[in-house]
Amino acid sequence: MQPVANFFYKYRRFVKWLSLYLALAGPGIIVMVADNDAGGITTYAATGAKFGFNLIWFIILLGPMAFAVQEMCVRLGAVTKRGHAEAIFDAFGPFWGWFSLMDLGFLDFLTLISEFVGMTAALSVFGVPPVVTVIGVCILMILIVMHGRYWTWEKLVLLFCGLNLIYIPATLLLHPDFGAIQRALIPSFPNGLSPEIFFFLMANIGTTIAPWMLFFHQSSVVDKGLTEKDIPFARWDTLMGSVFVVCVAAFVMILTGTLLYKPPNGIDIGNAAQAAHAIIGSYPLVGAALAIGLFDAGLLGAICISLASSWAMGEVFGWAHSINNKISEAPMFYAYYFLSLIVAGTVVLIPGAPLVLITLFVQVIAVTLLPAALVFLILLLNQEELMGKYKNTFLQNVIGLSIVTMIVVLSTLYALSVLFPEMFHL
Amino acid sequence: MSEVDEYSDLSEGSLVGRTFKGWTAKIKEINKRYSQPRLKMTPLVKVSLLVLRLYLIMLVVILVYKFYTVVSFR
Repeated sequence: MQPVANFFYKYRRFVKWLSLYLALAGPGIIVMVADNDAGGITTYAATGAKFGFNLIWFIILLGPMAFAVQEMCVRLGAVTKRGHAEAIFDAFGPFWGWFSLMDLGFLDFLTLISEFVGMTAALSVFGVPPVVTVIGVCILMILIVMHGRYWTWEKLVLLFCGLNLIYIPATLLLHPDFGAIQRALIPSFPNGLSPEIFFFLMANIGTTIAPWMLFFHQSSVVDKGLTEKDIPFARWDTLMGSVFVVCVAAFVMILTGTLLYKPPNGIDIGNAAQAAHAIIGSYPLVGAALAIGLFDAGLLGAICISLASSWAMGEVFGWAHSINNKISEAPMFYAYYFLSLIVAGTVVLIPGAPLVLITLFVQVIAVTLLPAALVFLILLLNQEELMGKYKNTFLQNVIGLSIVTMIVVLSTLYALSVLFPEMFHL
Repeated sequence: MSEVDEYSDLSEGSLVGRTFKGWTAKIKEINKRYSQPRLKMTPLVKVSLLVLRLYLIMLVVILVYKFYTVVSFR
């Protein structure tokens, strides 16, 4: 009887743990999946079309990197009960505070425009006019937050996160060469480390860690009301999210690598919608899945990015800034959220708007904020008075600093390659 | 000017003027609230912030140079 009783005891403990985890899960998965936004999906699709499966190993390496950074945000939010913007003001004073807040607001607005570009391009595959997409998205995003409950918002957004998995069945429909995928897991550079491959590596890093992620994750941890005792669950949540993000990215690469890659030099694609257009004729289901996934990615990105800014503004200006508040209780918070959405959507509809330039500019502006936000994160996590026993250990600092240094160097080089492509022979 | 005087001023003037004054007062209040950084300014923190400033200045110079080259090529 003893083994059976033990089994049931362990089973009940597991069920209890799982239900607690499911109640606390959310911010980590959402931030990681939203990281695969329209720009991210485009980067993975372009990488697959250009290099086939050859860079899948690199994407897998980016998962632990994203986890290490986001885990620090979880700890900081759960211990201080403050968002990243407020934490920067408090710890570093008004100069760095205003710099971060203004830069975040501007960068998020530009990124929001690029998400709308992705969404309109995705639905154009099905013949939906951009104006219908923009209006529909704005209405949907307003409805998502209107009920004034964080829990409902989070579960709705998690549904959209689930839709991001559409790339997995779509890729499996193609019966990809699993032997070749297995071989691609061993790190190697096809045709050596050329400037072109370096550009793609930098682009993939650039899409994996974005400044808004730090602000969004920390603020959502605070808004959800997670405390120190919830940190282990929040870590699991972030870990699950990083597995999720790597899986989706790898499957997008496999998809375009299977259908579009022509050895030895591959093909260049401008965006994921262009790939969907190219595929939909011969593989309607796969092409449609790629377009739906791109739309979903843009939508998730837009939801998180607009909230990241609204939370940050609310924290600093002292407005009520919780999704648990109704519109009448937090008018400024929601006004900022709605206004940024509507203005970004409108910009996409302006004939002749420099959308390509904006998309490129996003990557350049990101490197003005990312290093600062990451350095602040590490410095804050080392304050014993602030973090107590949750401050970074020596090992966490070594890992964190290595990652931050690598991200800063590579994202700066990426921005330079966008500004001066001739310097990198691109 | 005391806080009460500052806010009593806001009731006067045009809507734009009042809004501008309101925002200015809010920004001043935020600057005052966070005027003393809570972080201990150890040498490591000071060096990190200095490097960040230099990095940002370098980026601004690069962006200005890029802007200049784009404009002059046109």
